[in-house]
Amino acid sequence: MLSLIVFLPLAAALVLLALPRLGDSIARWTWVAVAALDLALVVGVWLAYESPAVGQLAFEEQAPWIPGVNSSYHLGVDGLSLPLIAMTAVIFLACAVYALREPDRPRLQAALFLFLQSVSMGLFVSADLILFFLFFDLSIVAMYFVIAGWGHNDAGRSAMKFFLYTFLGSLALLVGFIGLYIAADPHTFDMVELTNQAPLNGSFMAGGLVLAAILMGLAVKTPTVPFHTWLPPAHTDAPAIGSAVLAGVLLKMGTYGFVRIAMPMLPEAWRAWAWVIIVVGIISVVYGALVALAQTNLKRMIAYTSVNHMGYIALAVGAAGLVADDTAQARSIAVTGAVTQMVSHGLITGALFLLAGVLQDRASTYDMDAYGGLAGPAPRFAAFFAVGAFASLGLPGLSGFIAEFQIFTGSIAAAPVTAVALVGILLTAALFLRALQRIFTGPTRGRSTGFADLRPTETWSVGALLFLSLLIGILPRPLLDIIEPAAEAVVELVGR
Amino acid sequence: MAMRPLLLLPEMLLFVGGLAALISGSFLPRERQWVSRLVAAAALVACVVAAMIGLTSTAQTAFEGTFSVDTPTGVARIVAAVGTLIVLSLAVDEITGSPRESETYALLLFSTTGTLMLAGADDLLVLAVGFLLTSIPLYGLIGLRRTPAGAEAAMKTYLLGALFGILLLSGVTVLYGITGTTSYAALPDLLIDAPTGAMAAGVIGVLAGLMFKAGAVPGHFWIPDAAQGAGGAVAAFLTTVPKIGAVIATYRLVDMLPGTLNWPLLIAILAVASMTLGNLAAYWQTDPRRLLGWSTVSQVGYLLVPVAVAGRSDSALPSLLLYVAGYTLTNLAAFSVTTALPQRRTLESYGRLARAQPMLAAALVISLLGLVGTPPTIVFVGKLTIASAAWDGGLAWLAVAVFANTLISLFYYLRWIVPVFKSDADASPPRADEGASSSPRPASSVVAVVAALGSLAMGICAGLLLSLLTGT
Amino acid sequence: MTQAALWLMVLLPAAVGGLLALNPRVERFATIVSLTTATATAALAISVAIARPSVSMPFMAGTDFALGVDALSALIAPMVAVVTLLVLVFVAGEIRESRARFHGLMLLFASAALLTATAQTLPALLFAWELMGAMSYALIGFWWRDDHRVSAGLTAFVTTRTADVGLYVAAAAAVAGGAGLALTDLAEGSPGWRDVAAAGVLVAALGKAAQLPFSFWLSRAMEGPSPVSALLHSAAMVAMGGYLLLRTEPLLAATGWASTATAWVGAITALVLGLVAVAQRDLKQLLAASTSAQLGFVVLAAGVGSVAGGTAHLVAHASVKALLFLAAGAWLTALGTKRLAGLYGVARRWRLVGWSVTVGALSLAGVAPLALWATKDAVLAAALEESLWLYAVGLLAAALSAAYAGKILVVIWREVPQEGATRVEQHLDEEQQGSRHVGVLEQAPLVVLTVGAAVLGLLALPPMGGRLASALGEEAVDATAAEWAVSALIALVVLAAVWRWGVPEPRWARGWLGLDAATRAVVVRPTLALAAALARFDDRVLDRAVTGVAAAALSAAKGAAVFDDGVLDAGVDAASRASLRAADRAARDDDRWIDGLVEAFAAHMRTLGQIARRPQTGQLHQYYLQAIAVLAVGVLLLVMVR
Repeated sequence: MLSLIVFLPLAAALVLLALPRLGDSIARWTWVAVAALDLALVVGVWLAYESPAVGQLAFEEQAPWIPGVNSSYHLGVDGLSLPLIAMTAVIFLACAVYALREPDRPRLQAALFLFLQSVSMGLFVSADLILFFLFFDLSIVAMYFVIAGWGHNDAGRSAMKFFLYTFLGSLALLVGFIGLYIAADPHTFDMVELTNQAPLNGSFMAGGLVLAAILMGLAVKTPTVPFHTWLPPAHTDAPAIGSAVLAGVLLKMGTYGFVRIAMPMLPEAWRAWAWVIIVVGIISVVYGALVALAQTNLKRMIAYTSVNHMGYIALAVGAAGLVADDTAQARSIAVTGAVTQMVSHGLITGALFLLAGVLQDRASTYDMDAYGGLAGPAPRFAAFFAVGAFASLGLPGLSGFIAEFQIFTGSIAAAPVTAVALVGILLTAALFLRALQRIFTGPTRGRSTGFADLRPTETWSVGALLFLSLLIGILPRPLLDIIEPAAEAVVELVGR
Repeated sequence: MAMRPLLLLPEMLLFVGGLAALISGSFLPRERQWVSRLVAAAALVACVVAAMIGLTSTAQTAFEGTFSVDTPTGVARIVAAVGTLIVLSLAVDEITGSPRESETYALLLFSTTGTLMLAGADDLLVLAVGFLLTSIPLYGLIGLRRTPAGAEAAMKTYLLGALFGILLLSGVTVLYGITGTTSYAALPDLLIDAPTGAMAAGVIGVLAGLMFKAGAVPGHFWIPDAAQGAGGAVAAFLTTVPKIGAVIATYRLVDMLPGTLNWPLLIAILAVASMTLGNLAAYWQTDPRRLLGWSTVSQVGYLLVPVAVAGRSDSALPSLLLYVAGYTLTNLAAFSVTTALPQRRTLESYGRLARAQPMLAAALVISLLGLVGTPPTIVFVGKLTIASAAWDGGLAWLAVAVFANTLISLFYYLRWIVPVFKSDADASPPRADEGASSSPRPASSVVAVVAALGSLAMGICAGLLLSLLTGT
Repeated sequence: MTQAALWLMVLLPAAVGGLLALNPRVERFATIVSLTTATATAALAISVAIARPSVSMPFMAGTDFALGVDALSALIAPMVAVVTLLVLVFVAGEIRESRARFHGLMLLFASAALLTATAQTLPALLFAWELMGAMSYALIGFWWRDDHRVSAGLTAFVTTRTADVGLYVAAAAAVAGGAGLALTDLAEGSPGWRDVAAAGVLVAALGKAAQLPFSFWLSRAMEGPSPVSALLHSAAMVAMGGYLLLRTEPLLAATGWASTATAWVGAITALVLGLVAVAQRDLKQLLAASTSAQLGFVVLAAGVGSVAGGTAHLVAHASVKALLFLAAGAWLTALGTKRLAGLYGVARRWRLVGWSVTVGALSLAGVAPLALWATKDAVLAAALEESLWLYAVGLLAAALSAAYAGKILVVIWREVPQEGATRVEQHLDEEQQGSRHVGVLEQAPLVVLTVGAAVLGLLALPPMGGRLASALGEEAVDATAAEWAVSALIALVVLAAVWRWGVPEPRWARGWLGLDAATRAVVVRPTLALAAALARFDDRVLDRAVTGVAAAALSAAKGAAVFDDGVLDAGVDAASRASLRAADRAARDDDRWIDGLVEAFAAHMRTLGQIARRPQTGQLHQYYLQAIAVLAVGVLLLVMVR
């Protein structure tokens, strides 16, 4: 089942590539259909899912791959990955719908995004480090072509920067993986096995170094300060759907690595370095928000808020490493919040980037001061953006609140100093409201004149994402029921 | 101890095949030289078949213990023969009907035979023979094109080869002098008590020769010139096939040496020097073949990594063989793209390739990303296993160096990839005299695509390969 | 059944409001749908107030989303629902464009307020709490074409959210202290964490209730439409700040210090904002300051443990202040001004409105036997038990209420002499085009609210006062007859004095103590400056560092390449080309911090280029030399390093 979910888009991509004479609209609709089918499959998995035991996975599939290094084709899901693959399927479907009007090489774009979808799905269900790395690296390659091929402005340069920077991260990650492999007895790349072994427990120095390499890799991808400088240019020059996938899905690969790899496999080192992660998290939160506040380019601003939002996750998972007997509940709340934030940020920021794409499409600039009073000509756009903005600043009723409330409750209870990061929710509130004010309110002026409101493809794609955010915000239980056991398991594992 | 000459059947097939190609070529008119190509190809195929059969039996030695017929030798035979076969297909486009066609085939086969001698050598003298047998045909091959650049490159290669040949022979002499033997079977015990200075000088002499053959620091100088100056097929050959024998020979040598001196460190330093220098120097190159030339210098650096931990990690040898095989195929794929598009001699001239030749562009991207070490290509698995082996053997820093260098290498491979996907708007139209619009050569194109796909397929089936290489 | 009513009370206005707000096509039916919904909501609120159900569903962070109606909510929830209904009736006559959006947002707000009033756990409370803030943003900035109104909404939202952070901390403290997230259990946390929780709750409540030092946002919020002020800034949102303190009074009391702090903040706010109110020249600004001041009494009540008194005051004040704000809105619509100077004699022009406001203002002044007289005295009686000083400050604040209420009365009733009439008329239409008309829909709610302003004092008077107190689980503290008399007398005396002499309008108080400007200078501007500085740092240093490292790697590569070319291509050409390139590169990288490194490297490369100036054959010689050198080093290495 998981293999089908992973490789269905890839197969569709190959078919699209193999049929160069295919009509553009057939290609676009094929993309939508395949993305929808993939989502349906994920929903099927969701419905049939039952939480596995600690350290185990559900829907496991395993086949030998490179037995020489004990690496296998091993897939499985648990409460950490299932929400993410669901979110991934949703975002890719939204992108497919959004791109129904794409005039530039739609067949190739569809194929590339389907490939990217396979890779993203594959990463989240991997239960083998080499498989994980394979998808991690391919996601970079695919995203490079998305930015370079369909971006605007200085896309080539931004894509190059993105590629080099994240590739650096991936190599650091690989070094860490090899360290884990070498330390395990017998040598293995199997995640389940490594989780059960926690091979570097007891060797402080080696554990620290391996964790440093892995953290470096994940921190670049996440990104956290100071490894974030590739993000703003990449987003600014990427096409709308590229940004949505980059922010919505690809950034999660970093944070997912924290809870999937770093914490359960290197518990001792994680505990030892928890403070560093917390500090990096706090800095990312505050710094990201402050820098976002100063931006005049809407897409750059949203990009920096991603740094801020990812900072919350780092904060929470860091706090989860401060093991003390009476904070187990708090730490598991923090981890639950962190995973919820991954899903929530994907939906919300995906929606915001798609909306930002509308600006580029209509008026070819993201400069907020070029607009004003846009709510007049484009009321639906304004309403959607407002909902997205409020979701992003953590307003209750939308998913961001569910995530951030748990992150803060858990983190502050485990490490009171993390209360500093609460400044982040104030700054994001201020910056989003300022952005709303600059673009949408006041007298209609500048590029706002004659601005066409959202078209159906835009309405449906963005609307779906925001609706899900609303749904999670009001009825979080179906999601939390899946995440909570997994979060408790992570906390238990990191406490070893 | 016995002669058992039949064990050397593949080498003999190649050598005889070369002779046959040469002789047949001298009797055939120019337009029917394809017969000699057929002969050469038949010899290579026969060599592969024989090597495969040989692989099924257990490890043995031939000619009184001077030549090992074991897994590395078997792998080297297959990889080298397949590599040469690919080079032959590239040559179809390039030298069909040209003068000295059959000589080229013969020289290719002789040099391949030499490389196999190197790979199997268990004796310093056999090693020396292999060295000469690989090198001398190469000088000829490089100069065959008779262009000024080709001549210069051939000259340089010859003169450098002379120096390193002398070094190698002196090294052998010194070692023989202090131990009284040239056999690997006997050397270790005798070397333990040997004076370290002399032993170091001797071994380094031998190593120098091998580094020359492999194209690693400090014997790398001829590689970029030769890659640029020689014909495409020859360039593809000389950056891949000779290395196979050289690195395996280095492995055998280092594996045999006693632990009285810090060999791993020396090899590790040479490895890092090669990869770093190759990567740095490749960056500003504008000629794709010269870029690939420098890239092979860096790739040899990676190949030396498992050599550094020879005998200290179980996975050193399998990872070396895997890397050699993967690298050969991937590098040949990249070269095939350049021979398919002989008019495109600068990186910029690859602009809009993706539009004009999507298959070739895809092959190029796969092979270049493969050389970077992007999964799931075979070089990724190779890098993974060599780095694991290095770490396992206690040289974790070497593993880190491998990946740091991988990052550097990304810079210049991307410089090549980027223009390929330039859209109409921002790519300057290729100049007429570059002839970028002319159709690619058919054979090379097919080879490029097949080899690139092969490197992907090998990566996906790496598990199977690796279990073959570990001899299970 | 009653449980369903409780859910419905919250969900119905939320769902209808959401539909109306996001769907402009329902403009025509907006009013009728909205009024129906509000009526139904009010009915539901009253029914749950009687039946007292409680409901819950699993939510997050190990706790439920629990709603319940107890004695406190049983008063507050109907109050919110009824005031909402009345305000929406007023709106039906007042707001003429974007009705769907306005009604939708108001209903959403009402839902959030009702949820706040019935929330039993911190997550549920915070959920509603912040939604109220967001809706207040949208409502204050309702006329979004005016930038200053949107800014006012932003200020309101960000300021109250700053205080809301306290609730996040409180939630964490509740979890860490082992108390759990139910509001009733907060007092049971371990001592240290309990203090943190109390502080967090206190800060959050003070922010919403516009107490010092957060009061300034309420002044800015007056940019919003008057019905918004009537609902948000009297009966619902601001009041909820006071409500939260009443609700968590056991927690405050458990810590000790928090009660005292609460009481004093309330008392001082009542006093100082009373002064501010007295100094205002704009009717809505006066009412806003008065709201803060009156909420000060509620906060004081929570601090001194008189939940019953505080609740009564809260409810009565809601009625009074909604009335006054609506009237101010009616006049603003009719006359186009809300400046007191433009409202002289306005009560004589629309008698019904005038008399309603008069009753409201007298109640606000504390004239017996109107509502606020009784409720305020109930609070002050409890304060006297706690501390004489608190009582004294409270009494002073009560006198100030009379003063600013008197100020309103003077303006609206005093006949304008002929020569002053033009001056008054200058103010007409200065803010918007007045309609010179107050319709039935605007007047009807005023009547109902007037009744409330007159009689709700019963909640604090015996026998109702005692019953309310026991329902809330505390002992009734009845004021003595002397206290009743004193406060009533003070009100009358002050009113008379104001009628006779007028009131001073100190400049420092008129600008709301400069809190807004101070916040701008101390918080907003430094934050923006810091943000800009960090953004520059990010672009110029962090990003450049990456590019710089990359550039260094590239130039190293270039060095290797130049070296290669130089050796290959021979001679002078190579060297000069290398120098040129190096120079060129140095020029291009001039602005980079990596400059020195690059240049040094380039210079180094030039030297290498010089070495390469040899005839063709000499180069091979160099190859040889290098190879031999490397090998010699290798031998040395082997021999030295073991």
